[in-house]
Amino acid sequence: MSNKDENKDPLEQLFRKKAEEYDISYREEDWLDMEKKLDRMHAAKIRQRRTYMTAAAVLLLVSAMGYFIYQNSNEIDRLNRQLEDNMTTGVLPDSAREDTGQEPETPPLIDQEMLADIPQETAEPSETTDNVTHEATLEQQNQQAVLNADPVSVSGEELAHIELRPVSYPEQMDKDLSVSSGNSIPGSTDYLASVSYGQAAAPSGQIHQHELPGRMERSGFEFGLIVSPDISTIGGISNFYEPGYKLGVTAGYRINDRFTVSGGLIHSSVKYSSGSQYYDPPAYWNPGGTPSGIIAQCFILDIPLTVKYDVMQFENSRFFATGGLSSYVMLSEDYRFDYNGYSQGQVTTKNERSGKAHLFSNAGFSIGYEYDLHQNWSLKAEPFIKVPLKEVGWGNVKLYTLGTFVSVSYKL
Amino acid sequence: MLADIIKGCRKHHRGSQKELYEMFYAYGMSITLRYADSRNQAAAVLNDAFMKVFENIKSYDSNRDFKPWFRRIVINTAINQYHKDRKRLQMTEPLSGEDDLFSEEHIISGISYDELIGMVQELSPAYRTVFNLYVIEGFKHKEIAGMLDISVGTSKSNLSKAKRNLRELLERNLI
Repeated sequence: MSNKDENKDPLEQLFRKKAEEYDISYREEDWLDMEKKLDRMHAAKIRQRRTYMTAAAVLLLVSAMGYFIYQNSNEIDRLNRQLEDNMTTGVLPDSAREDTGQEPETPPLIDQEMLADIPQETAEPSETTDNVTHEATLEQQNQQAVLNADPVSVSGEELAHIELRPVSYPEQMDKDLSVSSGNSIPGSTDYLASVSYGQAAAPSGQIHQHELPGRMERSGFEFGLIVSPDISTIGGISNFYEPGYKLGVTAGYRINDRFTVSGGLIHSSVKYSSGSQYYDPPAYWNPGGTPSGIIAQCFILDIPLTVKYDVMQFENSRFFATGGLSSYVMLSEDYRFDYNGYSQGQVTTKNERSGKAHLFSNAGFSIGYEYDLHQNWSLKAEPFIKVPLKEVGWGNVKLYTLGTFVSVSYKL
Repeated sequence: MLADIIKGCRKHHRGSQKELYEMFYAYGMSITLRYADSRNQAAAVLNDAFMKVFENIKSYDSNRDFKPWFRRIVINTAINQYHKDRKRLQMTEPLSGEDDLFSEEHIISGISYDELIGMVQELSPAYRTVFNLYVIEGFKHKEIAGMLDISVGTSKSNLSKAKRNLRELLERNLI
């Protein structure tokens, strides 16, 4: 770097010599200006910390809510399956007895609406019929009546809020059922409503979109908030540095039963470290040596365009896969360079605020699980990977990113 | 002592930050004054540099001399300021041709530091920045070209014009 000794120009020598003879008085007002800057920086850091704390709290809350909903859903599914099994054998599930607090001998009741759906001749069987045959027939018809309780007319909202309601049996049925050798289904009738839906919609638990009329009535648009850790690296999927974050909004449109197209604006904090081999800064840039390592912290606006496909659909949830392309806008790039042997003049930092856009620079893939919290609200967990198609940023790096999106969506 | 001050700065102690500021104020100003148009602008650039110092003090390696690290940050900040102001830079035309003013060293030996800085500040930012980086900081034209996003030829040309203008100014002030 040094050319001091090479040049004997008297003008240069004069300025070089005089530059060392500085005698500059200290000004307190300059420090006061400095203090104002420090105060602003301190306040900004506090705001940033609060933002992170709030985001963490929201994430924790959403995660906890999702966990409890998931647990609750599992419990209901388990009870439904148990009840379904027991209805064929006529054995009441233990948990159902505990939940209802009713003893098995408690006379069951039946909903009058359901009674109306049951053919009269079924409700009032001939007394001469054999008891065992009649019991089987009645039970079959009773189940059929429940299963035929117009499941198609149940809207998505009703499904989301469907409750386990007590149903009543007519006296005659009570009588007939009590005649059977204790293999009736008292108490368990509390669960008939959910059983009727589950059996009518999909015996296996998996359903098709056209079987959810409530969902099809929507406009198809959905909007969401999305958050994820950002674990980035360059050159390959290894040598990870500190995690950053992704935080943004998404908008999508369901084009049919399975496919949804969506886009978004995601503010990303990307941090990575690397050796200089994966780094290709502009040719004119000369840091005064070859850095042994580079640490980068960048803020990027990630603009994804994705297609989502629902692979498996259940009553209130679905597994899905997505694929898409992301465009990156480089909001800011801060680089720190390490050298094996530092010498004066070597560039140790580089800051860029180019705002340069890299169109479709990365391809993104994910698989995930979506759970309907409500008719309009859903929660998604979505591990993803973004792989480079182009080099991005001032350092022209191939940026790989891993993470797990957690998002809340509202369907219009 | 400096180690204790830096330790305090790492903990964001305002007292330590002020001590460091006072300790390196004159040195920092001796650099920024050469890149700036005025003392106030030089102080603003210096404060920006100190902000970077305080923000990145944790990355400073205590085993190395603080002064070169600080100097590097100040120069980088001055160059960043140059880039920010670049759009409104105006290249000044050469004032006159070469002369033999500096063949007589005794003529210029009486110039004070302040006078010299005043002359440098009269140069256009483009000339002044190249002159400082080449003559005072000791960078080569290729390095300067990279820092300022200009060609090596432009760097050489700007240095030549800066020196010619300075000779003109010296001649005007001395005679």
